[in-house]
Order: sequence, then structure tokens, then C-alpha cells
Amino acid sequence: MGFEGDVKDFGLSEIFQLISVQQKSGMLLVSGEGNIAVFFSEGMIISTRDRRNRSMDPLKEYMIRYGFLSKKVLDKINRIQDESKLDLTDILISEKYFSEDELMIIFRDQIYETIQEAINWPRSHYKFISGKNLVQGVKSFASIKVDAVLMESMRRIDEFPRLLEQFPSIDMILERKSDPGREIPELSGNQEFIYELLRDRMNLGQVISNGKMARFSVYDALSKLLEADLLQVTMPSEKPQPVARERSEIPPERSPLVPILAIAAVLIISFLAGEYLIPAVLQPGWPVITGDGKEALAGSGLEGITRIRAGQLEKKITTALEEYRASRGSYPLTIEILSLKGFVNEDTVKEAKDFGYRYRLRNNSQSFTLERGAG
Amino acid sequence: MLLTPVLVVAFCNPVSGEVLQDITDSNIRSYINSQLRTNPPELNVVSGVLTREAEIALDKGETDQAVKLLKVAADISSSNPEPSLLLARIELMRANPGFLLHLIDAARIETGSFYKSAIFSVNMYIIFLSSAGLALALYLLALAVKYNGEIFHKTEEVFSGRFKLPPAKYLGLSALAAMLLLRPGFAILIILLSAITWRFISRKEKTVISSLVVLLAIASLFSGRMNRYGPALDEESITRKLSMINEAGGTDDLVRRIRGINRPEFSAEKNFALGTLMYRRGNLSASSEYLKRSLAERKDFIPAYINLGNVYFMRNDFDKALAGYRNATGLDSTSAIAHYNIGQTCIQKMHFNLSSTALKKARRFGIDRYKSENPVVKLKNPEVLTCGFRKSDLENISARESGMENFSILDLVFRNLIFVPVGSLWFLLPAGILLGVIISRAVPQRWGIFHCDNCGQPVCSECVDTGRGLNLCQECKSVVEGLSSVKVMEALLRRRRQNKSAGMVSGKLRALRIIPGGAHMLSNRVISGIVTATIFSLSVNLLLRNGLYFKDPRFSLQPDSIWRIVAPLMVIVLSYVISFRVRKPEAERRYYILPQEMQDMARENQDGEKRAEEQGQAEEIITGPTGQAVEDPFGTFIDSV
Repeated sequence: MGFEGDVKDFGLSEIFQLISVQQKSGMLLVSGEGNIAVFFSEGMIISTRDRRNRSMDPLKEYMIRYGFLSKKVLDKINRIQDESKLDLTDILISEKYFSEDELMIIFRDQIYETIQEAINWPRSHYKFISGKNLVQGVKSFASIKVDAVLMESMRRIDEFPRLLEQFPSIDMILERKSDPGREIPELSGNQEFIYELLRDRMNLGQVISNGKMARFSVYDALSKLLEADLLQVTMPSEKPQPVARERSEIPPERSPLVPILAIAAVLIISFLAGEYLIPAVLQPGWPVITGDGKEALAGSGLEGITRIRAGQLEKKITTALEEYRASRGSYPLTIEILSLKGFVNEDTVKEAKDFGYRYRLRNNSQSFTLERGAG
Repeated sequence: MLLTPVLVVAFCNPVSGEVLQDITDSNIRSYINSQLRTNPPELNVVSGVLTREAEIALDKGETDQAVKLLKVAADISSSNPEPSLLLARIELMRANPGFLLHLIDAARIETGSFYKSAIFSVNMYIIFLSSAGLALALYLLALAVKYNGEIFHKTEEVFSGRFKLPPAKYLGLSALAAMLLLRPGFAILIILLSAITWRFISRKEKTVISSLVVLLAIASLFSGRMNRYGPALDEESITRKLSMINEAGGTDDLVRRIRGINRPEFSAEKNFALGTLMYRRGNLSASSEYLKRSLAERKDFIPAYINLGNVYFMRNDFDKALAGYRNATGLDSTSAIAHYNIGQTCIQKMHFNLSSTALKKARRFGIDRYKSENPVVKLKNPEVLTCGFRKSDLENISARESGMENFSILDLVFRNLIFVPVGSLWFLLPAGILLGVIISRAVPQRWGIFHCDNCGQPVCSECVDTGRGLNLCQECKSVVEGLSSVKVMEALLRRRRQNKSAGMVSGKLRALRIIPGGAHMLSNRVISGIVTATIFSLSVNLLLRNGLYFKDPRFSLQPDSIWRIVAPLMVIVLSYVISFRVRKPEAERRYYILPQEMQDMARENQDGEKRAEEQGQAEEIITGPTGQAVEDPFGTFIDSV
């Protein structure tokens, strides 16, 4: 059971409230400028991570965007995820990148930001699928009331244009005032963190990507710090200092050419040895180019088997001729008749010809000669 | 069913001299008469013709007529097994257990005469040697595939630092290609494979290889004995020419062939053969001359004494005849023919008591067997019996001839496959194993190959990582390097264990299925593997050689039965089906692999952390630029900024 519709008819915040009031469990899919999935458990928002789509993880994107994870750590986590299929949160906690409490804060902020984004979309389509089974197995570190999320989102939506006016470009250079000339007032956690961050001058984009908090929170903290006259802002006439990139150690290039050449050389040597050395040492060998086998056979004294075969063939035909005479009264005109009448098979006659046997009748078909000429 | 053979034997009537009455064809009768004039011991050609006619009758559905013809064919030849085989087939179709008797008859014929037993022995030897040899080669090849990773581990390790080496499977393929291009013959191939694989194979596999090598070595030791039969298979050999007098009458062709023997070493035998043939032709003076010459050269030649006695008997010189026979019994008191002929001579001399005694002795020493081996005797019923070469005489002639000519029938058959004399296999094949043992001992301890506890890849003491209480290969080590969580390490190792070992086994299984029995070896079903490989090798040999290597050219069912191709083909296909049905060996299912201590330690840490969190001690604080303590929401990663 569920429902779907367009934000033109019913706003997303109404839908959120409806689900909250009804204390529904299920999944709300919203597609507009992007796609998000919001999971509800008894009317509370528990996650926006749709793990059916493994390639897109809003939590991971959030953490990358705001510098929670350095490149090195990210690479490591990606590798672990690829190889182990463990959930991102499991890795982060197990490997002690964050404690559960820390992750809870990040998780909650990510939900706030994701929902704020979705509410901001001018056009979107939603679909709610109800069912408790849908939320079973959804990893959650927060259970947030819809009202709180909506209120916070609305506040941010309202205040953000003002903040943007204050900080119109992400290229703006920010730095601490060298000497504020008075005692630093008490700062909140976020403000303190950003103030610490701005020990070195950097532009707004860099502050956001290293701020480890939502964009709105960075802007908000900066605004407060500016109001407290702790920062100075300059327009980007000069180029910002490039952020030193982490150098990944590239292992020295190893050449595949030498092993390939070595293997090719071994193969060529093997072939030549098989062609010349083996037939010389271990007769007859199996030379391919230098002999057709018969020559090698002749050299090795193995032609005896051919002689034995010829003798057996002669005996076979002689016996067949005798049998023919016994049943027909005379010998056949040609040995082909033997195969035609079924005394020997065709192969035997053909083999006899290959061996060079010649059959001649004598004494009015009462005797014969079977002699071997050049095969 | 057990009683049937006994009853059949009990009521079996002796064949009368009227066996030829059933032959109505005038051409055959005329041919028989012409043959009987030369006094042959048997009528092989007629037996062959009758067998063929029986086959035609069978095709027409005239079974009774076929049986009648086959019985005559069996009665007039002692070396044609085909009538007995066909009779066995007919009786089998009739569900008559009597078919067993015919089969026994056929088996008796196949191993009866020297010529037949020579063909049988050499064929069996060839089948054994080629099947066991091919099975051993296949088995070793399968082992080389199975232990490919282990064989090339050190090469990979030594060179992979400097060069980008292809994986072990490609190195293995290259080595196989090199061996194929080298074309060293099966003997050297087996030696090389034994030496290469010995270091890595299991004890059970070593036992199987050793057993096969021992069997082949024993066979090789007997090759000299087998080679003595060689001349018997060569229609142009002295042995074969001389042995023909046991099969044919005194025909011009046979006399010409025997006269063509010009080796002085066989002069006594040649003269005996000519004397016997002359006797059969009725030329008593020539016969006497040849036989005397034979006895002059060889005083202990019993058959010559008997046949010379026969010459005197035909001339009614019974005293000299008796003297000849008694010379024979003096040399061999168990000679049934000599006693029989003494009995017949005594009848002529009216010494009935002596005759009775001699004939009793003849019966006791097996005169009936002589008659069954010389069926024409039953047709012509001569007064005295002629003696051809005895089996032992022919064995002796054959051995002498093979020794003189340095003639090795087995080398002729196998040389172009193994490139070394068959007689040298007894030390060459064990030398391969010995080489393997020496290599195993000579290799330094640190090069010893064992396996990664996680993925099963080969590792050595130089590349193994034991830091986590496990033997891990470099790849498994790199997977868990820098990680602290037992849970993540377990997951990564598990994943790699499942993927890597399954992939490795699948790849090997695909390659090993090409070799029947190879798939069994991968599952450590060593006995099933070698049995499948042996059956496959046997079928390949039978198929390639259309049954036996040497066949008696005088008798062969025409046309060749299609089953000679279909039956081995079916077995080959079956061995492949069996190979393909072998399932991938189940990997050891271990969910956790890290040592118990690590698991326990991780659990304790977790519990400790939980407790600390509960007590509110897990908070960390950082000090801001102002010096006041502020809560660091993400303290653990602040350093990475």
C-alpha cells in the first residue's frame, strides 16, 4: 500500500507531515533534480541511504564533499568496501575513523542536508511505499522527528540567501585577523572548528571542503566569525595557494618485455632441439621440417615394423585368395574382387597397393603370384 | 547353471570322420580333396570359408544351418577361434549358458599354438605397456596442472621484483608448449614430469606414481622374454616359416619357403621340416634323407626320430620304425605320438600286448590332445602319426633367432613413441622419481612451499607473512595491511578466500577436465582418477589400433565389426562424462580465520569501549587557539585536515 504524486499538488513537507502524523513505516522515493529515498519508521526519519543502489551512498558523498575523509582514507575505504562488501558505517566504526557518537552527528546532518535539498527542488515526484519490512535491515544512527527536520530545513532555506549575499563567491579568500586587538569571544563548536581551520588563509571552497560540517553550517559559522570581527575577507585578485595534493607512490614500471622474450626464446630453443637434437640423440624423434618421419624411421632401423606389416598383409591376401578359390573354384581376376565379394575389406586392398603388391593369375586361374614391387 | 558345462562335457560325442558330410558345395569339397593330398594338420582355409558362409546364413536368419557350418569349421581347424566365438554369440543370444564353453574353446585356441600364444602375449604386453604408460603420462600431466602454482612459485617470486611476469598459469602453459615443441618422446616426458612434480605431490599421489612406475619397470624387465616371440610375428622369419609345417601340408610354396632358409644355425630344423613335408607329399626317400641329415646335426631331435620311424613304417620296415620311435621315447618317455606309433607298429608285428601297453601310454600322455590339435587326423585316420615342431622347439628357435638378429619386436612397436629401448625403461622411469627425490632433498629448507591459510595460494618461508598468527600470502597480507579491526579483516579475508580459492579451483578444474581423471585428482580422489585415466588410455589404444596391434592374418571376421570403433569411443566419451560430472571440490568453510586470541582481544576492546562510553569517559577534548577547552566533534580525524 502506498501513494504517489507531484509536488505541484501536494508539497513535500505536507507529505512528510502526513507520514509523521500517520506514524507510517516505509520508504519515500523522491525524484526531481536527483533521486533520494527517505526511510520512515513509525513516522520518524531514520535514514536517507538506499542500499539497493550501492553505487550511490548519500552519506559517503556527504563525507567526501565536506572533507570528513581524506583521499588516502577514502581510497582505503573504497578498497575495503569493494573487497568485503561491508557497509560504510561498519568500516568507519570498526576501523575507528569515527566513534558511534561522531557518526551519529554526521549521519543526522547528512539527513538534514539531503532533505533540505529535496524540499528545495521546484519540481519533483514522490512515491511512498508503506511497510515495516521495507525498513528492516536499514542501518540507522538517528531517529529524527519530521517536524525538527522540516523546521531546520525551512530555517536554512530562509537564511541561506542572506548568507550567499555575504559570501557571494567560493573563491573569496578568508583568513584570520592577525591581531583581533581584544579578547576572543566565546565561540560555538562549529565556529571554533572553522576558526582553527583558518590558521592558514584559504578560499571559501577550500573551507567548505575541509569544514567537516554541512555547507549551511560553514556559511553560518563564517558569518558569525565575520560579525565577531575575527576574520578578514578579500576578493580573489590573487590566485589561491594550491592545496598540496597527496602524492600517491607509483611503483616503478616493471617491463613485461623481458619475460615475454625469455619465454619466446625457450620455445624457439625447444623447437630447434626437438627438430635437430632429439632425433640425433633419441632416434627417430619427431622432426617436422627436416624429415617426413619415414627417413628418420629408415635411419633408426625401425623399418622392420613396415616389413612385418607387409608380410602380414601378404598373408592376409593370400589366405583370402585361397578362401575365394575354395568357395568359387578358381582365383579371382583381380584382388579388388576380394573386397567386392567381402573376403577382405577395401582398406586391405588399398593398403596392398600402397605397399606395391602386384597380383597375377597363372595356369588358367589355377595359381597366382603376389609380388611386392616398389611401394 | 553350474552343472551345465559338466553335463555338456559328459555327453559330448567325439567328432566322427564324417564331419565333411555336411559340406555340399562342390567347389569346397574339391578344394578339401586337393588340400588333403598334401596331408595338412588342419584345414584353415576351409574353416575360414565355412565361417563366412555361416555368417551369411546367420544374416539370413538360418541359425541352425549356421551352427552346423560353424561346428564343422571348428572341427577342421585347431587355430581358428572364430567359429567358437560365433557359436558363443549364437548361444548367448539364445540365453544358453553353453556359450561359456565356446568362449573357453576360443580362449584355448587363442593361447594354444606357439604362433597364437606369441601373438596373444605380445598383444597383451603392448596393450599393458601403452595403456599404463599413457595413463602415467596423463596422470603426471594432471599433477603438473594441479601443482602449477607451487612449481612456478619460486620463479615468480625471484623475477617478479624485476620484471612483470605473467601469472603462473601462463608460465605453466608456456612450459607445456615448450615440452610439446621439444618432442622428447613419452619416456623422457614422464621422467621430466616425475622430476618436476615429485616435490609437491601428496603421499597418496606418490604411491600411485611409484606403483605405476614399478609395474612398467617390471614389464620392461620382461621385455627381453617378450622379444623372443618377435620372430613368430614376422611372416618372413625363420621361426614363422618353420612353424608353418604345423599348420599346412606339403605344398610347393611351403617347401620353397623352407628351402629358402639359408642360416646354418637352423640347418637341423630346416632338414626336419623338409623331411616332414616330403613325407606328407609321399616322397619317402627324400624325406628319409632330410630327416637323417637333421638327426646327424641334432641327436636329441625327438620329432625327427618319430617322423623317420614313420618313413620306415610306410616302407614296412617295422623294426627300424620301432627303433626310431624307441629313440624318441628314450629321450622323452612322455611322448604320446611315439607311444601311439609304437602301438601301431606292434600291431603290425602282432605284438598285441606290447601294442596295448603302448596305446594306453599314448592315451595317458595326451594323444587325444594331439588329435584335437591336428584335426585332419580325424578325417584321414592314418596308421601312424606325424610330428611337427613342438611348442618348446619353436620357442627355442624363436629365442635363438631373436638373439642372433638382435631383433626386438617391442622396440619396433614403441621406439617411435618413446625413443628409447623398451628394455631400458626399468631404470629410466625410476630415475625420474629418483631425480625428483634428489631435487626435493637438495632444495633449501627456506624454499619449501606451503599454502596461505586464507586463500590457499602457494607461499614459501621468504614470502609468507605470519604477523597475524596465520600464514598469509603477500596478496592476503596487502588486503589487511594497515587495518586494525578484526571484523573488517575477517570480512576482507573471507571475501578473498571465497573469490580467490574458488576462482583458482575453477580454473584448474577447467584445465584438468581435458584430462580424464584429472578432475578427480583435484578433489584428491586419487584412485578414481588413476582408474579413469587408465580406462581412457586403454580405450584410446584399442581405438587407435583398431583392437589388437598384431592380428592373425589368416583369420579375421569380415568386415571389421563397427563395435571395434564404437565400443572404445563410448568408453572415451563416458570417461569424459565422468570427468565433467566431478564437482568442484568444496573449500573448507571457515567463517572466521584469524586466531582465537585476536578475536577475543577485539571483543574485549569493544566491550571496554562500550563501558567507557557508558561512563561518559569517551569524550576527547581539544584545545582551541584561545586556550579554552572545546569539544571536538570529530577528534579522531582532526589530524587528517
